Amino acid sequence: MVNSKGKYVLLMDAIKDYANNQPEHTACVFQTRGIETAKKLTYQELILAVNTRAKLLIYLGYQHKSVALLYPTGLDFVINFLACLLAGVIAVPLNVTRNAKQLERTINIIEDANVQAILTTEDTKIMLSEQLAELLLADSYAVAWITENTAGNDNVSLPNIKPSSLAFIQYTSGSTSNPKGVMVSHDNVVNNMEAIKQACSNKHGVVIGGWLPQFHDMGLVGHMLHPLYMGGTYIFMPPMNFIQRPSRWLHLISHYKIECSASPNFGFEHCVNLISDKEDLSDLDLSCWRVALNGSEPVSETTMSAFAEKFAAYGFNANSFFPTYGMAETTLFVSGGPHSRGVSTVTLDKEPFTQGKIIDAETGIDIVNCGAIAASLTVKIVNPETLVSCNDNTIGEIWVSGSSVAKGYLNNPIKNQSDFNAQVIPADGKRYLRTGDLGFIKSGMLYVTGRIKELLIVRGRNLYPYDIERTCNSYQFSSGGNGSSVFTYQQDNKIKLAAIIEIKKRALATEDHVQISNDIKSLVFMQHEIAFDKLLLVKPGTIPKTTSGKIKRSACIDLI
Amino acid sequence: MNNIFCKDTLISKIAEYVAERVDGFSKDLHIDTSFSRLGLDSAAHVQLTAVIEDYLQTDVSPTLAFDYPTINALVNYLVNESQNNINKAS
Repeated sequence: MVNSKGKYVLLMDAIKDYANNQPEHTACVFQTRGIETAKKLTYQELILAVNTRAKLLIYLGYQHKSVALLYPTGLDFVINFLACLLAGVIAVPLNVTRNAKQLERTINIIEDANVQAILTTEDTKIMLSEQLAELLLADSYAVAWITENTAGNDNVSLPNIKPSSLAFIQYTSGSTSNPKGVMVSHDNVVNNMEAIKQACSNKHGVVIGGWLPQFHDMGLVGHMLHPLYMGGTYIFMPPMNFIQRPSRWLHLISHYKIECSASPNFGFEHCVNLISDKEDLSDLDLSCWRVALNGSEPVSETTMSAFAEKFAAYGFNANSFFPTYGMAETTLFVSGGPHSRGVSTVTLDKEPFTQGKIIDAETGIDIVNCGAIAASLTVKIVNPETLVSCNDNTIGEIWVSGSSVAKGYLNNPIKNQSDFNAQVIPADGKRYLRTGDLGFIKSGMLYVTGRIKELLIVRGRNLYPYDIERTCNSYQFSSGGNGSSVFTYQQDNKIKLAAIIEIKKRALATEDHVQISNDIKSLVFMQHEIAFDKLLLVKPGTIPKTTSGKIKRSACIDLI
Repeated sequence: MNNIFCKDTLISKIAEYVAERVDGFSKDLHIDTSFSRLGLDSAAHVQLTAVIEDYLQTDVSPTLAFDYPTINALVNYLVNESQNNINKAS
């Protein structure tokens, strides 16, 4: 199905078309280790597998219902996710984890999305079902499991999908206790595909991929769906294998001639810090890498130039850098490019900047250009207090409107009213998403300067200080109450995580401080898988607070 | 994994990696202290397995240091694995 503009109406329309027109073309390659471990699917093989699974889902009666996808990175996820799209089943991609805190989040999501079934592999089911069953049972919640062993009946027909209906729910970095599921429609997907295509100048057959997880918006929409929409090839590897040895990502790009590959800033930093001179990179050729997208956490110019310098000898072109801005709430892409522009910054006068004013200066604060705003989207800079549209030289909240903006958060009418249906003053008849990010627009380019929400982004993960503070306060010698402050600070251009924790006077006098620190570190690691760069133990009443008892994080930074 | 390796050398390699990241780390004191207690975050847990890969010249699961979270547990697991493989092979 193509519409009057010659564009596909649904992502699956595109994939069906390619299965007919280029059946032997490789659609996906999944490689765990060396090249010999690669598993491939052609468009024909992909559509056959997707059709079978879609019919199974229809046969089992899951149309219009939510189904969780709990898969380790692999081709199974691709097939089953697309099967959901084809069958009109609402996909809820989740992270497979054995960590107790993460499992708790998984349970919360299963309940929030009213998940009727879990699509997974037999192995993963065995690994998780006991723990999940225990947790779910406690809430007397019945959920079915669908694995490769679940048999269906091919004698069902596939439905017609309304473009405005829900395609999937992307759970975003809400806190553990309160996950936020972004409702993404089939329309949203296609609109964002077109935006990415334009920004990156992608052509039919484009090769895209890397190490990003499949259950995350950047990995799912950018790496997986986009090349399939373009009749290209999706190349991918397990994220853990990248973390273990970052050079594997670069080898993947080089071997498969990947044109677009994205990573949060820390991925590039990993390559700079952890690819040693001892590694054999002799056959590495990165000249194929046209678009090196950097997004989802603040983009560091320092990291980019170190990366470019280190890998120039292997054909990496610094102009391929493509700082980008986006989020699950806008399906993915908001701004970036045009491609081959590289990294650019503006330098602003420091004093006015802290007051929210943009004044160019010779020296001062450098802000990275996050690229051109997608043509199909409207971005406004708005005063978050008065909701009045800001002047050109003023920092305000970034508001986004357009067909890529999702329907809202599931089961959250209050937040949807305030954050997805915001009206700017003077009114312009559009509904806006309030991103919670601060920034400004200069010559049509978007610059992001910070966040309104109290959210910490550390090494590519969004953390809520409140969650971690709660863990610290639960430690036996903590003074409890409001006696911990978790915050980030910048050192050598890196975001570091610190905590100040008030310890009961008696324990502070009698217990070993190193022991206390270690206890807290391991407690925090167990629950959040994050390590503090700095940890300060103090007497009760030391943490700077406002009159209303709120922790003053900026004053805490001064203490550290 | 059916190569024969020197257990003490592997312990030293892992200890060297941890010592680079943890102030006050001592191989003798902390051989049974969990990596997370020492302050290694999850990325460091994963990268630790690359040190093992380099020494053993074989693929090692990236999650191994989560499953065997102390130097002793990790090395003993690898010794047993390699012993099992040798027995299977002979």
